[in-house]
Amino acid sequence: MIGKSLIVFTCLFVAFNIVAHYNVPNTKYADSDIQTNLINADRYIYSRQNYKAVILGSSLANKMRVDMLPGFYNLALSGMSVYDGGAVLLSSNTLPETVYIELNVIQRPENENFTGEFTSPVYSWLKTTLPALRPENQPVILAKKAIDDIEQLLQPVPAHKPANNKKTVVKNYYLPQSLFRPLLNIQLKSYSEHDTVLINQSVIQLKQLVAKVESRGSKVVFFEMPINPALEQLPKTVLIRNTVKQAFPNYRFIDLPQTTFKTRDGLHLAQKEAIDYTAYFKEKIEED
Amino acid sequence: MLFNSFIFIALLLITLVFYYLPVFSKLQVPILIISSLIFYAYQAPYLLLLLLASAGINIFTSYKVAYGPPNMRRFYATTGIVINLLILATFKYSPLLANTFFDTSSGIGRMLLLIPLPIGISFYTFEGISLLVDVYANKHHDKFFVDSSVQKHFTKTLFFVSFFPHLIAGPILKAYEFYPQIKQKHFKYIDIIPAFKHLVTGYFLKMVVADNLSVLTFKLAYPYLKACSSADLMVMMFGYSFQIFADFSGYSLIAVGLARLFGYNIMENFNFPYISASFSEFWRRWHISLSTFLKEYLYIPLGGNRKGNIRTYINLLITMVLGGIWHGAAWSYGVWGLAHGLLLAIERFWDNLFPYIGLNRFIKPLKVVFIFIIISFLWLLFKLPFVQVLEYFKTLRLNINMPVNTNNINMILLYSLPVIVYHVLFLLRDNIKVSVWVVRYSYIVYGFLITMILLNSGPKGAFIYFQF
Repeated sequence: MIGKSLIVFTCLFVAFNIVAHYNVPNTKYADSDIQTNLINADRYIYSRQNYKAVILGSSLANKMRVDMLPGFYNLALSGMSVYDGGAVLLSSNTLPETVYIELNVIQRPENENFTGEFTSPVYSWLKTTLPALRPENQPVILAKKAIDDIEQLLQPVPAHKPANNKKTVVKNYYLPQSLFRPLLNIQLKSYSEHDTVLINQSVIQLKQLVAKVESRGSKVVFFEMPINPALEQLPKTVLIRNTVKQAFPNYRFIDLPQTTFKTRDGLHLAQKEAIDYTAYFKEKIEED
Repeated sequence: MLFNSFIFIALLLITLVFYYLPVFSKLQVPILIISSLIFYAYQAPYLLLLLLASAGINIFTSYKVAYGPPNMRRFYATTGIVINLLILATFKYSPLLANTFFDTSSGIGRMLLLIPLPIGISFYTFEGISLLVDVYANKHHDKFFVDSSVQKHFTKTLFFVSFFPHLIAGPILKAYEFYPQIKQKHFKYIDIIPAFKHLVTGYFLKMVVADNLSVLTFKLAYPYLKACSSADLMVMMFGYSFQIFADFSGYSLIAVGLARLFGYNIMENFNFPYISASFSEFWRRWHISLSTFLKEYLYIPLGGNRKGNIRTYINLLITMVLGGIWHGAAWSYGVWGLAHGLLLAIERFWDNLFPYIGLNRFIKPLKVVFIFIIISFLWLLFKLPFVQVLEYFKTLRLNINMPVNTNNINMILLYSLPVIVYHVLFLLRDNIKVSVWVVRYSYIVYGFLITMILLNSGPKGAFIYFQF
């Protein structure tokens, strides 16, 4: 019975590897932020493209629109830290010319369960050799994608395709005040408290990351993502900003823009606002 | 060390090789003890000292109960039990004491909060208590006795407490069931197929079902729940119910499978609990090692159902509240236990009042669904602090018209499906066609499960019961 089970497993495993070989990764089919992050990270590592720049950060910088920044890859991961994206970056063969590091959430520690997926040489080798082991090729994701493809095939094709001369209108979606207020209040409380020891420890870790990135020939630039104006000058925000600036005196910082931005929940930019901030970011990097 | 980590697989393979090498056949128990101590010390080596101290106290007091002066037997048994409970209270409940009675920003409150929670403490202290009670009561003298050789008793008891498959999250072993099995094992007598089935099913339930559900149900927590529709909240609540089953029964199946690889039979901890048609049946099917422990070592000594109805209800409440608090240092666990105690008492009262109302084939499925719904709601007290549970119900009422996240709901249903199929197959076990099909094609199912373990696991997470 065990032998037969292993034969069935081998057949299925080979079949999934063949399908995975031809699969184009798409984060659209991910079920959760963690899965999206894993797919995003794998897509960077196994991409044959050489990126000019990479963004590291948290879910705040994750909102940035890299389609507006040619040659950029966004390794700012939802619910994670610069160190998680940093581990992914360092596990790849080549590093970009420039690495942009978001400084808002540097105190969030590395998620070792996540980075363990990329730092183990044996597992990385296995994922390179056997594409079915990568998260974007999970059977459930492949099944969802197949259903989506079938649905599209079954949709009737219009006789005359309408000319697509309308520009996509991007709207901002905001939470109702009854939800937004409590969320903002949580952030107001959190940003009013600060832990100097924790921030100093985080800066040491950040220095280690920056040193590793630079030792492989990349330049580092820091930037700060806009959040709700009520939070931008609170003790925690100011402490992080000043501590990082003091620790990296000769580095370039892209400061907050003069204009204020609206967020969905106090921290994360709404969709249109993210486009506006990316435009500001682009303008700043082009000043070089 | 997680059962689903590479380092654990390596430790297991090395241990198995040494264990069955003929040259080491006389050292099988010491090999398992060393391996278990490495397993336990891997993440926080200093906590090994507490495990060894706890084992040492149980070895000494149980030996004294068996071979000390007869008039001192009670003293040694009581001392051992009190020390076990003190260890548990100090290391597990200090945060609860701190948060309830002290200012946690400084002084004693701060100090109590800093006491580390040793993994598996609830399990190994209960096993120590079971050893002492069994030796003192001498009820199982036909199955189990304390060795007169101190060295043998030391080795056997250290092995009993530390054997790695059950060390961290049970099943809670009973001395009289485990000690008689301690002897030399031969690989040719090991029944590999049940071990294989337990391991594959256990890893599948944990890594594919529970770990995937964990990321789909995390929005039950505050403040995320505020942005979820009522339908999402309901489905996530049921999803968590399936998740906690898959997580803990998965762990228990792995533990039983691992123990069988070394020739030891440890008790099954779950018996398809979500087919229960009553709360008392649920507790005969869920975390069986804990419920039998509580029954044997707490409920029956309190008087059980022998002292009239009122005392029975009180005994049920005491047992379930203490059983609830055993799970963790938060009052919400006590509330959870109290709720279960009340439900058991009400159910008993109802059955006494209307003993003629039986379970016919129309009522039973309805009762199964009813019990499942109530139990699922009560799991919220496991997932969330009490205040957030209230917030959950408030949001459930307010967010009825919010847009539904159909993708999340579909994925929760998809990953819950294996648990439902697992229970349904058990219900259909008497159907000959189904039984024949299951036996004939089980290799396809297990081949598929292995594929899914390797290719469709969720993000690695600790077992929920590790915190207890």
